[in-house]
Amino acid sequence: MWDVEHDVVVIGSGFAGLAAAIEAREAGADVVVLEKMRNPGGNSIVSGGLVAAPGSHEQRVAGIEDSPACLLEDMLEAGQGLNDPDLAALVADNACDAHRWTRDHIGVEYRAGINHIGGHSVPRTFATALPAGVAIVRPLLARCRELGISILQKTCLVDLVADEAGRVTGVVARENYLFPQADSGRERRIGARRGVILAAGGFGADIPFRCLQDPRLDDGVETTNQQGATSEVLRVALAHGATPVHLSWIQLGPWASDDEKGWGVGSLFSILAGFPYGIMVDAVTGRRFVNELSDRKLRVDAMLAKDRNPIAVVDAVGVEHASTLDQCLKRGVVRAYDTVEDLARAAGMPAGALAATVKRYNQAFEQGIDEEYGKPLLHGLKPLVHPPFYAIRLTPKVHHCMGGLRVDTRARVLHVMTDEPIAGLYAAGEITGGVHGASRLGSCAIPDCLVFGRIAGAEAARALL
Amino acid sequence: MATRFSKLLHASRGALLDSWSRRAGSRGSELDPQWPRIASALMDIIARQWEFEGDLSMADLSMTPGTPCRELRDASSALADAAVGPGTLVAGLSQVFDVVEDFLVGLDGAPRRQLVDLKRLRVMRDVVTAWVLNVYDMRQADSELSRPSPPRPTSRTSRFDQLYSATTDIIMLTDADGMIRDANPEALIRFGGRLLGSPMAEVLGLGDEDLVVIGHNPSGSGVHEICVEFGNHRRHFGLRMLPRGADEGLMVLLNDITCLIDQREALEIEVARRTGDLARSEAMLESILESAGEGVLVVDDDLEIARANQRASEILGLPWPSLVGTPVGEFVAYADRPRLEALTHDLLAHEAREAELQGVYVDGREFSAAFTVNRFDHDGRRWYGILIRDISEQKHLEQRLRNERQQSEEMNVTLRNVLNTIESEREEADHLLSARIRDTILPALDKAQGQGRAEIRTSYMELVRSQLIGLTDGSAEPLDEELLRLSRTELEICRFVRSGVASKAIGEALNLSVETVQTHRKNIRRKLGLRGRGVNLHNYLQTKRALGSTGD
Repeated sequence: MWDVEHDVVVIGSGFAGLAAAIEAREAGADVVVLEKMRNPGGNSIVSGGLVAAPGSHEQRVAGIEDSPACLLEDMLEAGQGLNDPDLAALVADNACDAHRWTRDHIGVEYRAGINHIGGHSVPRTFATALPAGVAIVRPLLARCRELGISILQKTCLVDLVADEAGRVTGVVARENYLFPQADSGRERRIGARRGVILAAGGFGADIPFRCLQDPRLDDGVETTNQQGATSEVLRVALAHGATPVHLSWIQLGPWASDDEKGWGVGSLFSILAGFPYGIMVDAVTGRRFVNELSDRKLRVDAMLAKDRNPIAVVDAVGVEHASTLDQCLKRGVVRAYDTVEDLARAAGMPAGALAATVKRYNQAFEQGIDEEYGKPLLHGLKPLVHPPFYAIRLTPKVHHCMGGLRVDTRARVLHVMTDEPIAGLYAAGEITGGVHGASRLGSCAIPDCLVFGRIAGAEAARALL
Repeated sequence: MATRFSKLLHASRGALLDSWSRRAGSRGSELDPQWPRIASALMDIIARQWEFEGDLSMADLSMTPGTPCRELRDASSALADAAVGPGTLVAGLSQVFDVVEDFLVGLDGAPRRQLVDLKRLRVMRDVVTAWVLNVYDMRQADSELSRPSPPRPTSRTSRFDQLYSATTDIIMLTDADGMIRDANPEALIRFGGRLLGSPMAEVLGLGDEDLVVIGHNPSGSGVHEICVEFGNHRRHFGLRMLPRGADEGLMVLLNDITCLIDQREALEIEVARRTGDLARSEAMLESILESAGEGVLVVDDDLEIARANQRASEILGLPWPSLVGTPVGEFVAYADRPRLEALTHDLLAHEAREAELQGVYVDGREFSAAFTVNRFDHDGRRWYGILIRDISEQKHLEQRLRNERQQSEEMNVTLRNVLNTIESEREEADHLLSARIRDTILPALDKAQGQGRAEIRTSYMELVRSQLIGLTDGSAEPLDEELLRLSRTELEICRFVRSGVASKAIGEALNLSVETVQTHRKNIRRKLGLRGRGVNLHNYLQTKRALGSTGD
């Protein structure tokens, strides 16, 4: 019946898949991870490595009042109330624990300091020491190696196998698969005695499929995702009766650079420095047009509203928060100018407009309130006065799929006809839908992946045979 | 380039003014003395402006201190006072710019650069024209206040009215409602008689949206490109609208930039073609890079990865976005990093070096890898091409081979030892053999030879034979030697004993007393080592074939 059999088969080797595999293995299950690409880590490895942790010890030390309830409120507000409140609450409640797990159990190193990310009401986000998701994936992979979990690369899920009762008992996969050639490799049947965990991520790089959900997102729109962020596994699950939710809610990131491909190094520059410590202006008018710390969706909508040419500007003090500055400068993604006027001229802005905008923004600090756009002027935020001034040209790029498979709080995939769990089938991470509603808050994806990945791993490992 | 043009302009100023005055004066009538002032001032303004980046604006002209601008303003005012018409004024300015433009076009230089300069000059022409017209309008307004009945602009004709008529630029004047009230002959030629009294926007085919855009930036450097259909062909114009100070009308200036646009389009086609070529060769390079069986990294002079192929991703376990920008040293075991740096140190261009280093996979696993580093220089920077080959499999096989060789060597040693043992055993056996021949058989033969009695000799010969048989079948019995220690009589008695003959009968047969036979039996027991062992001599001797049978 099977070419090989394991207790738990995990599809995908990103944050959710690795967390699930580790949790299941540590609970005593024999685990295998399938990864269709040539390297492990999925899209997680190219992510920003930002982790929201409400109510952390570090926040208390810094005098920041926060709680899971407060994060939940922010998530629901950004999500425009479309979120499944139980799932969102689960992420909010366990985010802090997930951060501690990566740090204390897995050995991830974080930078000192807490970052304020757009859409959050307080600073609560940790950034990895090495500014990228690889800083989390690497130790997760090392842990898998210690635990003897094999990660089969170039192995692509083709189908799920279920018994007469509908229980998922294994998978059909192609080994030696060469993405994206569907017919490459050779089929193998892999049994899963306890369960199959789908942790295959979103479909941001799958242009035909994302166009079906949102026709505006055609090939004219770039993505921050790696090329393997496609929809095969999601579609296999739907074919087996899984319930789709919110598939057309696809998030664009407002912080990506026009001068490089994908997520690059510019995105973190904008997230950590440009937006919180600087301003975003339209180069056509030289004026601001949105609260730079609002939720991603609001920012992107404003960026796309008119024929705008958005540029984020930050001064020499604010730029210190940008962990990727050197790389940005080296690659020409960020440019430095001695004066605001030089910057404005280089960006082709009307003379004097940017200087006036900066002046107005700086005046907000005297009044203690940004009357124009309501940007929260938090502790540590300063007027833009110290040269040199840094500029990054921004363009929205497809970033995250809020929609996906419907799961319950035990990460079990729910059947579209019965609303009951499909036995033996679990899902975690971006492939699921409902946690984030209309818009995912920055730095909430990693907690989502880790929290549900660990739940799925533990649930599958203790599933009755 | 900008400053080069500026210098050339300075140097050629006299010649240009000559050329201008030849053109202006070619018709023979007298030239207003204000015109040379204007021409000279314009040359200075153009040359000065060229030294700066960016376009000239009206504000620049009003605010820039110095003679050229003042000269231009004064001379224009004087012409206004002299009731020269605005069209004439514009045409006169145009003629000066035409001279400069011809000069620019005549210079050597890259066509693309010339195109840029030409556009810049056109913008400058429009700005200066607008500014001069403003000066003119203000002057007119002033003089209207001071004079009850202003002279009609057309009441005096000068040569520049003719030039106004002769310029290739299109000039239209509109009223506050946007209706065309006046136009130069060029305009009438291009647009026909329907022009006067028609709405300007309609004539030029401008929609409301265009007007908003143009109105957004009515003065300064705002030149708008428009395209006007003339029956079966279209022309491109640089459009500028200038508010006319006195009434709320506009002065609309159009200059035909169709040739510029055509050139630009040709340029764009050329650029597109080259971009296509570049993309094709990029794709080719890409496929070569990707099809390489080895990991390929391009590393900059900081030893940071700038590019990586898929095979490198596979070997190191990271996708290209994670590889790019990362120091290549991070993918080599800590202890091997100095060796990696040594590979690049003082490497000559196109020299290649190789080393076997411990690579590090994304999950921390180390593997044997062959690194080949190559240097090439590009854009004044140093680059390294690094080929990585995962040789852990090869290493594994090598190790196995080594192990097998070692095992077979050990086997050889064992075999040799066995052979040695066999050899020494053989020597020992030889030795034993000769010893037995020497110590047993030869003495037995000697004894046999010296023995007169046939039956005793036979007995010795039997012994020798049994010894020789023992040698051939390798099972000689050591006890037989003991038998050889026995004397002739003792051997005789033994044979009797073995046959079960009692001592008394033996004595009788051998003519010995019973006592003597008993003594012999004691000696036999001693010699055979049977004393005190409770072994029956008769039974013992039964086992001894070598004793032979009793002689008879």
